Amino acid sequence: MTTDMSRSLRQLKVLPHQVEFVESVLASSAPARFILADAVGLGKTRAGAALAWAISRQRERPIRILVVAPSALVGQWIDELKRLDIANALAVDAQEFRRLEARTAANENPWSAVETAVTSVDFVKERERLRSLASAGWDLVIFDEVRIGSGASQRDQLFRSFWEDGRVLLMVAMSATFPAEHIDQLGVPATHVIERRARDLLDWDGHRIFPDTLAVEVLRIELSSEERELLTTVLRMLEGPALGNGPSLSVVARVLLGRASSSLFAFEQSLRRALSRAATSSLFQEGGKEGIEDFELLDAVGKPDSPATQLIAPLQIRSLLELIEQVPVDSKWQSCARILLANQADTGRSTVIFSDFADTAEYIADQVRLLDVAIPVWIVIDATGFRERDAAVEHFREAGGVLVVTSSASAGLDFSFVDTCVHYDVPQDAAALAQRVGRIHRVGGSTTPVRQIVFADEILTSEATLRTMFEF
Amino acid sequence: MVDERSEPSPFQDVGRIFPGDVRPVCVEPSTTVDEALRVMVANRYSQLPVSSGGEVRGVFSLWSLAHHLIDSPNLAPHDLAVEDVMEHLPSVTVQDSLDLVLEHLSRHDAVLVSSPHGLQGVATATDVLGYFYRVARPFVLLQEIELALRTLIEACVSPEELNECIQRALSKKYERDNRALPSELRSMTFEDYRTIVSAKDNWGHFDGVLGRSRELVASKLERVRRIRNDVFHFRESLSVLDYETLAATRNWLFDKDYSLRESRLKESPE
Repeated sequence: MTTDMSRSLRQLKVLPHQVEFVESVLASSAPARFILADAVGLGKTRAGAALAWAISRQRERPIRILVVAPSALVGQWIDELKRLDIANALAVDAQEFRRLEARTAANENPWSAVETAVTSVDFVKERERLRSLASAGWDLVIFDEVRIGSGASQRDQLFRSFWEDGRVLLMVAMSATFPAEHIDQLGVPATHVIERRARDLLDWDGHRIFPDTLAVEVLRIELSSEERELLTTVLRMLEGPALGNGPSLSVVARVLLGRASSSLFAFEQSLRRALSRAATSSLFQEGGKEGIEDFELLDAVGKPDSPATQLIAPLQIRSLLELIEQVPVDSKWQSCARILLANQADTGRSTVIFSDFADTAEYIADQVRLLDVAIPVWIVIDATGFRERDAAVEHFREAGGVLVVTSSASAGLDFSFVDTCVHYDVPQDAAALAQRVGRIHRVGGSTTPVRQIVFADEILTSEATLRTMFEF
Repeated sequence: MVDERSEPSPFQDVGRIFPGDVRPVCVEPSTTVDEALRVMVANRYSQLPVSSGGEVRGVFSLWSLAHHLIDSPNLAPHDLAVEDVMEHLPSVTVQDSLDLVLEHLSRHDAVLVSSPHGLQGVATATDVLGYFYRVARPFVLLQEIELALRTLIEACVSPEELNECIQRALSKKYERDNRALPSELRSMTFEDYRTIVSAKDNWGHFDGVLGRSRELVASKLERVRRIRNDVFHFRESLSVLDYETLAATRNWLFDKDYSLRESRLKESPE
C-alpha cells in the first residue's frame, strides 16, 4: 500500500490496526482467505470497508465487492462503505432484487448489475439464489459475523460454498468468536488468521486502548411499593411457568424480563405493542419485520397456539399494564437523574448512557429534556443515520452533557473521552458488555478509568447478577 | 450497470406492493384441475400460474374454472389438465406504475408481475389493499390520537383551568416565538398538547386519568410527536415499530376515552 493511501485512510478515521489489516491483505497473493477475529469493539466493519476502498483504488478497472452480513448489520455496512466514498454500495433485499431482475436481460445475472452489493445471509442462503450470487464473479467477498460450525446449518454451508470456491480470489471472514478447531476443519486453509486484543493496540499517537482497571459502582434503587408489586408480579408470571415449559418459553420470558428490568417504559411499550399486534389486521402484518427487537418473539401473543400466549395471555398483559399505570414515579430514572444533575454541576462532565433497548434509550433522552436543569442530550439508536451519529458524538464531545446510545448502535463509535458511563440496563450477554466497554476504552482514549455505574434492585436485577456480569 | 440510487424513488410503483420475499406457487400444464384445486384450497389462493420451463403459459383460476363449467356443462373438469381450463392474465413489471395494476384489477382478479428472469409474483386486490392500508394507516392513527388527546384534556380541566394550564405550559414558548397564545385546543399543535399535559405544574389535572407517572405519559406522547413529524414531512418510510407504537398509543387513548365516557354515564345515568 502506498504512503498516500495510508495517509488517506488515516484521514478517513481508519485506525492503525485496521490499516495493518488492509496492508496484510493487499500484500498476499491470490487466492487468499483471511479470518479477521479481532475482539469486539475494534471496528472490523470499518476495516472491511477500508479494504474495499484500498482495493478499488489499487485496481485500474471497477472492482466487484460482495458483503454478506446478518440482516441487522446490512445498513451499518452500507453506512461504512458510503463513509469511505464507496457510493455505489447497494443493499440488496427481496424488493431490490426484484428490481434488479426487472432491469436485466434474461441471459444476464441480476447480481452482475451491481458493483458493490451488501446482502443478508437469510436472503441469499436459498439454493437457487446462492447459485446466481456465486456465479456473478466477485473480486472481494466479505462475510460478517460468521459462525463457523460443523457445516450442518444453511448459514454454515453458505459460508463454506464461497470459502471453497476457487473463483473467489479474495475472501475475508469476520467474527470475534472463531473456534480454532472449526477453522482447522475448513476445506481451504486460511491464508491468515488475524486476531488482536484491544489491550495490545495503539492509536496513531501511540496511546493504549484499555486502562488497567475497570471501576464499577452499584447503585441500589429504592423501589416504591407500586414498583415492588409490579416487578414481583412480573417475576411470578414469567419466571415460574417459563422454567418448566421448555426453551421457547424461556426465550420469550427472558425478552420480557430484560425489558422489565431495563425500564418501565420499554416494558410498557412492549406489552402495549404486543396487545395491539394481536388485534391488528393481517394485511398490515405482512410488512417487513427488520429491526424489531422483540417482534418475532412477541408476534404471537394472543394467538391461541403460540408459546408466547402460553406464557402471557392478553388478559395478563392487561393486568400488568394496570399495575404499570399505578406506578407514580420511576425510581430507577430518578436515581439516574441524580447522577446526571451532579455531573452537570461539575461543568463540562460528559456521561454516556447505554441500554440494550431503543425504547429505553428514547425514554431516557426524553426524561433528560424534561429535567428542570438544561442538560445537552443526544441519542444514537439503530434508526439513527451515520451522519447524524457522527454529528451527535461530535457535539457530545465538544459540549459535554449526555449521550444515550443502544449497545447495537454504538458499534464503531468512540466514547473514550467520557467521564461517566451509566449501564442503564444489564447487557444481555458478555458480547453486549464487551461492545459497550469497547466504546469507552478505544484506541486513542484517555487511560484514566471511566466511572462506570450499574443499577441494582431487590427484585429483577440483583447485585449477585451484576457481580457476575461485571466481575468487580 | 444499473442506476444505483441510494434514495428510494418518490414514485409509487408495483415493486412496493410486496415488501418481503415472494415465492409464487406455480403448477405444470399437465396438473389436473383436482390437484390444482387442492393446492388452492390449502393456501387460500384464487388462482395458480401455470408454467413450464420457467415460462408462464396461463393462469388456472376460480374464474377460468367457472367459465369452463358454463361453456362445457357436460364435461366433468376434475380430471382435466389445468392447461385446458386456464385463462390469460395481464402482466406488469415491478417498475410499472401502480395505476396500471389498478386498471387491470378492475377487469381481472389478479395481475402477473414478471421480469425477464421469470414470474416474480401475483398481485391481487388484497395485495394492493394491504399496500394502501400500510400507506394510509399512520395518518388515520395520528388523527385518532390527536383528537382523543384533545378530548381527554378537555375532559380533565374546566375552561378556566385550561387557560391556566395553557399559560403555565406555553406562554414562554409563544412569547419567545413572538406569536399570540392560542386560547382553544383546536388551534394548537400536538406538541402543545404534549407540553400542556407533561408540564410539572399541570400534572395534577391529568394524574390518574392518563396514568400515574408523568415520566411514562410524557415519553409516550413525545414518541408520537416524533413519528408525527416524520409522517407529515414525508421524511422516510416508517418502521414496523413506528406503526405499532402509533397503534398501541391509539389503543391506550381509546381505553382512556372509553373509561372516561363510562364514568360519566355512571355519574349522570339519564
